[in-house]
Amino acid sequence: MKKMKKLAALAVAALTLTASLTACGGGGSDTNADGTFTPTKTITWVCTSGAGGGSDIFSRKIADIMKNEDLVNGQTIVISNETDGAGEVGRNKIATMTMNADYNLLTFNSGDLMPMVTNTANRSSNFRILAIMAVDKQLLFSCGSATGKTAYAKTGADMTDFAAAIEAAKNGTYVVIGGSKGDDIATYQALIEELGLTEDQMGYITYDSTGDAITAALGGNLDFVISKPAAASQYVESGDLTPALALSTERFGGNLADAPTLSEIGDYENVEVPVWRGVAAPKAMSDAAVAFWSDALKKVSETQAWNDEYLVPNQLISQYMNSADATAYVSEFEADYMASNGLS
Amino acid sequence: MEKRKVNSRILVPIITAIIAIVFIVVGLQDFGFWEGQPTAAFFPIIIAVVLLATSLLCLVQMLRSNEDAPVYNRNELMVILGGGGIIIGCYIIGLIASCLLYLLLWLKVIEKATWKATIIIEVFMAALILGVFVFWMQVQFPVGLFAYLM
Amino acid sequence: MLENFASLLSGFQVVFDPQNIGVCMLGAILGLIVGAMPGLGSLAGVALLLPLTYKFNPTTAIIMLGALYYSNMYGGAFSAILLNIPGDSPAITTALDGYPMAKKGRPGQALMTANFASFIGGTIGILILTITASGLAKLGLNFGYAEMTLILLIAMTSISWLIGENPTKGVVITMLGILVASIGMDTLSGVPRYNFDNIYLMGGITFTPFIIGAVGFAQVIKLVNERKADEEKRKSGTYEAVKLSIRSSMLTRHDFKRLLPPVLRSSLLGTFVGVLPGSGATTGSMVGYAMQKKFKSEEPMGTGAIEGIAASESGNNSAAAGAFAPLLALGIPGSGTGAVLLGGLMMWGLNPGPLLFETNPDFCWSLISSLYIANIFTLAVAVAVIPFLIKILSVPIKFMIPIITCVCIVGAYSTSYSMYGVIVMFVSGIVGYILDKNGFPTAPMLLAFVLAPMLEENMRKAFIASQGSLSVFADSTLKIVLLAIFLVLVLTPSFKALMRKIKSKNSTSV
Repeated sequence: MKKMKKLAALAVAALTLTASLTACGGGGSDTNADGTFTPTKTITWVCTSGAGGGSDIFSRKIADIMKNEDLVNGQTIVISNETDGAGEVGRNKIATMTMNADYNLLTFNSGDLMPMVTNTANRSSNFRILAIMAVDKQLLFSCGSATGKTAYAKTGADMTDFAAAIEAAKNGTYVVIGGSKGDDIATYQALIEELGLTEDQMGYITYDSTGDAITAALGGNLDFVISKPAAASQYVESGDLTPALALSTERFGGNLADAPTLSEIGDYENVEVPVWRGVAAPKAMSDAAVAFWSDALKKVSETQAWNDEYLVPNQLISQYMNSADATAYVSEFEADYMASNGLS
Repeated sequence: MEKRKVNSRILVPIITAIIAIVFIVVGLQDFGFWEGQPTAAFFPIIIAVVLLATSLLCLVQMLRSNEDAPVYNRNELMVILGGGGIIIGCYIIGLIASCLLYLLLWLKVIEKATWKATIIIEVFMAALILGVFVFWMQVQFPVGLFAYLM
Repeated sequence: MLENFASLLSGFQVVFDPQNIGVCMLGAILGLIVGAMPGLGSLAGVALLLPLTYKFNPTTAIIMLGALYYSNMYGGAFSAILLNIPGDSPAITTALDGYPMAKKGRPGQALMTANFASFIGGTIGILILTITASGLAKLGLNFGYAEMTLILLIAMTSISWLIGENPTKGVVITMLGILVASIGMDTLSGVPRYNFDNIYLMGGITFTPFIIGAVGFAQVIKLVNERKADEEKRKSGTYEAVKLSIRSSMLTRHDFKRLLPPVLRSSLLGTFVGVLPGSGATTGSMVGYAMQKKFKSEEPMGTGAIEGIAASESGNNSAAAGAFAPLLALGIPGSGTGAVLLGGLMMWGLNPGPLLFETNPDFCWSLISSLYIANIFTLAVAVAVIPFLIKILSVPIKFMIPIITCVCIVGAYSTSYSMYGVIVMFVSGIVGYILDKNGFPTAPMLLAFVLAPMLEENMRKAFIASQGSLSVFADSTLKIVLLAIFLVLVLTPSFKALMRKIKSKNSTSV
């Protein structure tokens, strides 16, 4: 008898617990009668970088604007930072998701795509690419004021003159460049290939973030550092970093205008590896939902807040592409990247 | 000469030696050791070699010594099973539910605790998980399979 | 320097505004909770409170977050001392002496030691920060990879003091810790290593779940054996209820005398360690603890010595204060939490970087002065909660087992928002338990796990920058001094052992 009572109590407890948790979730599509899509539940936005980083700020800013401008039918957008497996777990999860596919978004940048195709079998074609929001370019900076600890700096060379560094590298002085993972490495490789140098002549040190690389440059541990304008602008302002080379087909403006492009300092082609920031979704997302999100992102890209609070402070170039254009752009980028890295 | 006892204590050094060998072989296969500068496997291989050497030394010590094998008792196994149970439960009924269910089962079945104590602990833990982790820290715990089925 | 104090005073004027005092207090309390909860660290706390602070003006916001970050360092020690589960990684070394001391029946004093050591350590750190402000940060920058490699090698020698009676086992476990840490993405080449084609392992073994498991869960598994004894003690009435008042937790004059020297040493060293880019509070507490091993302690370290807790906690808090120097003066975050704070600064419309002290002096000095206030508040709160904390110890062990198991699981999940964290915690718990059963100490494994990746990274960067030349480790006076310290630390024990052997040989032969 007593045992029965206990069991019954357990069963009731278990039932109420499970029941209380079933309020959320559930499948099904929310496509309207006219074939359009309106969100009616909480949206999960996966960001495969940690809180506080560039991708995180990008995701949260868009989510903020979508909410403030009432673009998502009053639903909440929850940003979920999923960094397991260096982000590959989160990307794989989104790619293969079938349940609730219309309610899951993923921040997808060139810096995410590169390690993904290098280290896993996951490809951009496993996602729906919803939009590209902005592109970014890079520059080489140097820190003239630091007490140089490198072989090149010890020769007493003018650190702001990249042309001299190229000559020195060709003549056997080791020049060392630093930068972040992903897209910075790709740019470095494109650069030394164009210059006809090897990694033993002009080496590269990978850092966890651009911030770490700049720290190293300020300490004189690097000759040059690759960075996007945003991360370096304060140091340029204060005179700690000097822009030495624009990795772009044309010069930058503002306080970065002094940096020449590669074709200006020698007989080389300009090196430019565009760094794009975009949004992707599960392969299983319905066409109606893809159209809805692509459009919502377009509206975000047209707001004043997006320009004033995101693009301008981070010195990004606004370049909205809708789902079809973005998909074509990303596949071409991926094919190029894989070809140049001998991946298949 | 006294007969040496060979017991489960030799397992740990044997396992660490195997781990060391795996790290050396995989490291050499995938990356090599030194290519003008240290490779990705340079540091781990050095460490693995030291681990292999000390594991073997440790094994010899164990074979020579007369210490008794450690005793693993049933109660300890129960704790491990309990933890494993919660993890399996997370995938089925969700994390919060399986934690609370585990507490209930453990307190009533294993510890034979009173209902009063059980309820106090259940309420306390529920308040802690929901209050601090869910509402304040906004951790989204997994809800398990049922949540999707129902 | 006088100028700095004048600016500090104006900073205090800003902070002594009812609203700022209010948020400072709130931050301190929240920080304590977050810090004491295994799995939640200052990173989670600051990241999640950040959106709340958008409505404040930047100064008020940073006061709250600064207080939270700061008091979090206190909180980590609580669960380390009471439950042997370090709330965050700097508390690993606190647990080494804190838990034994609590077991010896002095949990109140152990907590009090931690609180006061944190307070003094923090105060010294903040004072140094006030005086030197940006100069210190610039000094830290001048440390290259070779210097960092040598400093980390010195820190690694601390492991040898924790190894226990069987050196072979100690080395095995240390190496195992290093190998486990090497799984995952190799930062320098950007390729995954030793992930055995597993997508989860590509990101490595996550640190916090690993400690929660190897220390916390392993502890629970062992605890089950004490359940019977605990219950009988309670039944037979010989059980002594732990005293619950603050008064009885007070440290004696003698305790204070023991506490002070290690705290002073550790704080100075800790502040300096905190300033070095990328080292942080964990290295601070470990280096402090390691150094204390070189000095006399009344009880042997690791058996519940006040000196051990004091050295570890003051190293932790002073490093946390020191880490603000590069953040404010150069815009360089010393840790993950620093990075989030930096993100916050940008959201509030400030430009963190080398110009911050010039363009926003109010902001910088209010932050520094709020650290003083936060430090005092946190001490008050931390002392006041001791009686409540000690109540945890009067909960019967049989109830603690399921409760801690749940806390371990919930905490492990919260660190990475994934079941992977829980599984890492569970597996490392079982491994830790088996190792413990076989007489392998787990503390060296944890220290190696933290320090080895930093060591490897700096060493390899040194090699890349010098194209593989060994001379990079000895080509300046500073490096030679560091190298000499390292060699002395490594060689003295063996030299001493050798001398003893020779002596004993001589005495037998004579």
